[in-house]
Amino acid sequence: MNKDPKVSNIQIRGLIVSTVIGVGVLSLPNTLTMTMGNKGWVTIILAGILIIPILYIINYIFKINPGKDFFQIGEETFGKIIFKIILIIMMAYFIDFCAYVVRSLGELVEAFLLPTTPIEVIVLSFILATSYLATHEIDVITRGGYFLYPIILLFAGIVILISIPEADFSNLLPLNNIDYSQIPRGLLDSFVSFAGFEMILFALPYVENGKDSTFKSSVYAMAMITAIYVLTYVVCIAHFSVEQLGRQLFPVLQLVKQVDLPGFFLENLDGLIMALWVLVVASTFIPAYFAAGKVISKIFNLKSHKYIILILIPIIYFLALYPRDILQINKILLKPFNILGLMTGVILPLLFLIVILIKKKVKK
Amino acid sequence: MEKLTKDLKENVQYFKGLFKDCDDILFREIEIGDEHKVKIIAIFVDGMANKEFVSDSAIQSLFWKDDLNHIPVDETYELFFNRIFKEAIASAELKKEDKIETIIDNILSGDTALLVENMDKCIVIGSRDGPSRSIEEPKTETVIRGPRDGFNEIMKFNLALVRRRIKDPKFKVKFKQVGRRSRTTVAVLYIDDIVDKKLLDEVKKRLDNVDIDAVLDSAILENLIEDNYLSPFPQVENTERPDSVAAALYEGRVGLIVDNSPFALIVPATMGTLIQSSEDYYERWSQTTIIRIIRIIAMFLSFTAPALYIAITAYHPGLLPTKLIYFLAASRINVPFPSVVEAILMELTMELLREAGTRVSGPIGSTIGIVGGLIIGQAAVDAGIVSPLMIIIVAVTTISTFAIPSYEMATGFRTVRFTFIALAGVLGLYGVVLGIIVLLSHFIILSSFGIPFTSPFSGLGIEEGDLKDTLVKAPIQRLWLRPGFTNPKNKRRMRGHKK
Repeated sequence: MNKDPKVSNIQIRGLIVSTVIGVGVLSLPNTLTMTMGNKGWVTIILAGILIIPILYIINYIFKINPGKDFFQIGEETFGKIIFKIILIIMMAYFIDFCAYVVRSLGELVEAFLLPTTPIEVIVLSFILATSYLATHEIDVITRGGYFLYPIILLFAGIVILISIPEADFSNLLPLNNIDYSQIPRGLLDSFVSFAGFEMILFALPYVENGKDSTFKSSVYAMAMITAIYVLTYVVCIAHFSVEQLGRQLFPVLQLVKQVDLPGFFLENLDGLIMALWVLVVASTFIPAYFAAGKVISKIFNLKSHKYIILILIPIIYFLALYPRDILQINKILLKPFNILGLMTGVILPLLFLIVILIKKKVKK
Repeated sequence: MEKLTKDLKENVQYFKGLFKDCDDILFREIEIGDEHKVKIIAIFVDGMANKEFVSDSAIQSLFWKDDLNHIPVDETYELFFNRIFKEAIASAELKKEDKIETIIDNILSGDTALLVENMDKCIVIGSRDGPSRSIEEPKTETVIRGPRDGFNEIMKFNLALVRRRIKDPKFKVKFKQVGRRSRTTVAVLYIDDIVDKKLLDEVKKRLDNVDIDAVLDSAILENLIEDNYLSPFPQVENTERPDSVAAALYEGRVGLIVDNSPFALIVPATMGTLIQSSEDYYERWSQTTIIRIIRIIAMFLSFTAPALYIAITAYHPGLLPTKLIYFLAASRINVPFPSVVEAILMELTMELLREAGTRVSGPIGSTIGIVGGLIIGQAAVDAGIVSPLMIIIVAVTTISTFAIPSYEMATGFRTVRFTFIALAGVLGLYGVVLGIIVLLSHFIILSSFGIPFTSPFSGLGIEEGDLKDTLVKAPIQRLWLRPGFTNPKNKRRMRGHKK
């Protein structure tokens, strides 16, 4: 009926939660113990709190430019050429995001579900399956995000609940010896798992009712994500202790695999958890995929991003399969992902704010 | 000729030419008046018009009304015509008409046209009374508790059944003609101060855009007006129950009743509404809640059960308890096929049985059920072609499809089931999840008259508390508000909570 996409305030929450929680939730406990020992939860909470001002800035940008979308605002604040460069950085970020996510998924599915299937098949079939939704507009994407949001809660809920009986919470002690010099590293590691909240750049301008409380719902979403991360981290530490956790690349899956539920129909839950996790990853991958397509279509001034999504299929596929092993994945995909993520997630909103404030001053 | 002429002969000639070789259309010529004679010709369709009524209230009274037959010499035909119209014909539905097209329409719908000499107008008597079936219990939606009347093929009876449930002048019924040849009447039903204007306009626009020669059943209209006709899933709800239509109207939705069809259409339809059955509202809420959850599980099983069986037996036997794996392996030891072939074989047999059982009804149908279900199943297991567990899976799948209230929705799931079997055969559990991703994507993309099909699970209507009547059903006292996804003008159903 109405060609203009519309998003509701409550959907923003679902979109943020489902985009952010994805690959990171499985590996975060491991990466954090490397730097923070058993105090990883400190940096998770810190990162969550530090993102709140960024969310506020993004909300503020859209508040003072009502009725305009991200690309219009960007062009007006930075000028055409500089904004194109910014868009190219964003494009690289989202493509890298997609490649990293889908490669991690491929590795894990191969390891836990389909040991004999070549990873190429797993990666390609996943990209093809998700491209169907990604060709649609932001309202459909947010709808999808909200629809999958209970599945994410279910996933997190199952992981946390089944591991509690065998947890040893004394592994968290002592609580007071925090190594402050490691906090910046830990913060960076935690920040990476919060990547994906930039999606609200695309969704916020289309919120139709309750525009004033979008900030509130994005903070609410962030709080939820932080809580889920902290809980999984605590559960993993309690289950494995720091020394063991340092050796588990994907401790959450290992944890699920170790938990036995004698007497239940499904004795081992790892299959079910993996299946749910694939859905969780899809809800991360689709918005990023959509964003990559959207940004590219704006770079080339195209009206629709439909065909870009199709063109991106081989690009993401080859980029995802380019690294040979986990070490290379970290070097080729994860490192740039961290840097680009910081640029689009932190520096870009700050730049926006600075330029807007300077322009305001000049006008006065 | 667009309008009637003054010349009766010409008019009659025209109609006779038009209805040439239509032997079921009768022309009855009468002459009244003592000295001065006036010719009147009645045209109607035999069988569509109530012949008894036409002879009693029109022809007879024309003959026997005394003062009518004393025609004063100076009386004009115009005055005489008005006298007939006002005094002679005892019918509740009567009108003057001069447009030929409308007259033809009326005659073919069962009305009777009276052509009077020297008049360029005619009298149309509402005498529609075609053959009809009596009001029976709906065949497809039976309830244990609740009203048992169902729609039949006659639109006016169907409208009356709905009107009886909404005695409110705000309840509107708008007629529209659809089908170039069939000229089927479609009634658009809505409650004026509840329905969203945008939705109503969209429905009317889509009805106007329908271009087809015949609409034989509401199913054809449904296909013509839905958002995505390629989808295997319905985006329009259909029902045989007047209480379901009335309930939908009270929720701010729009109903469509098509003449000659016992199935009314309701738009928009969403995932939330397609898992509701009218009985849900007549039973206790706790009961309904459990049934709703069972329905969701049934919905899920109806397309994934065989696929999950294949995925687990062929790819991930480690997921099952050890004892069950031994049992499974033992039961499959004599089966010569891989589980994919086994599943497709049994599913096809099941579809075959189902189809055969639907085509023949009554005692033969149950014979098919017994022969197919019991004998073939037992024999297949004894012969070692399929494992007993596969029979259980197939049976559970089929029963699950019957537990979904919307038959079209169930057929949709039945169609995609084979894709899931293939996916599970190729990629195991991962394939099933990929299938689910695509299926969910499809649901998320789908919309029904502009309203997202996944409402209220995808956000629309959540704030109004739509979830209270989806997966669970809250007690009636707790459903203060109408569902929000239809964007009703009047939100409140009852006094109650302040919010």
